[in-house]
Amino acid sequence: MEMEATLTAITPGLLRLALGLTGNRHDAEDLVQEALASLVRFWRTKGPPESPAAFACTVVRRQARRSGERSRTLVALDEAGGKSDGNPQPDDSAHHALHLARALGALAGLEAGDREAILLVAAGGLKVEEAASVLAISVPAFKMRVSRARRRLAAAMETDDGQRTDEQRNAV
Amino acid sequence: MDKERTSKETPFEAGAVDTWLREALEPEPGTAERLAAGAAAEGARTGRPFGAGIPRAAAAVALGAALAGALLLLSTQTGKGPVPGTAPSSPPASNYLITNASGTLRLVRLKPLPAPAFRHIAPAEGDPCATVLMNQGDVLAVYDPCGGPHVLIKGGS
Repeated sequence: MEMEATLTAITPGLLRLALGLTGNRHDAEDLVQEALASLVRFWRTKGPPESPAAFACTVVRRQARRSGERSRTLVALDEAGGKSDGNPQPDDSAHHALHLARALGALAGLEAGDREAILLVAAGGLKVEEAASVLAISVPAFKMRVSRARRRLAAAMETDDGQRTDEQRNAV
Repeated sequence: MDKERTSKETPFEAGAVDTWLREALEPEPGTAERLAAGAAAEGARTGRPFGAGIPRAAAAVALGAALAGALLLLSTQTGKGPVPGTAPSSPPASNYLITNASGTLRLVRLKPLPAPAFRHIAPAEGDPCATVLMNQGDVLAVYDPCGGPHVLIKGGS
């Protein structure tokens, strides 16, 4: 297994997972950087893990949980720095920023376990078995979480689509 | 994706929700490539002290100057700087507010690392100056291709 090709293949999914867990692009980059560094260290000393993507996702999830405990401090500093995470940023397109804000809002309304489950498969690109092992739960339990999360997100997605249609109609 | 659906979901529902979520969380262009290349370079390095994406000689010169400036700045802010010849301590991750030569404020969160590591801060829209930060132990250096003074305000951990 080629390390460089693997890193290139898994990094976009890791970034999506980290953004979904943190709601913050800067924190997401930090988490992914740490996860990739851990993966590289492991690879160099012990060879490639069975699933590099699952290995890195596990690190991202663990670090996201830790960083979540410090989120209150970060919010104040983000505001001081002119950043308001989850809201449209100047360097994002308005459309994508709204899409992101709605998705993050919908994710925030999920139970933590459901959120992690849907992000691991939809954002991180893991297979069900890999994702269940990351969460240390059985495959049927994992599928229940994903199903529950999808139902909740589908409602948010319909709202998003409806509002987008309204915006397009108003623009015309 | 078929394997990931549950029996109560239609293919459209599962696929549409996943696609909607994946598109919303899509990374900014170039971010994934930069991080992957940096990690790959770190894995392949043989005593290479710098991250990928920066010409080695230019980075060495700039970092030398920036490191001295950052050390001086941190020393004046805290009243005490790292003592030469002593091993760096291991402070927790901290937040830094910085400005680059264009005066753009950035918030970065840095953790002490056992080896030098880069964090590339992309320029904001209309800002020609990208910023690169390096941290090792409790030493922070800032590299800005536009030069100029930086303001570093260490925030909460």
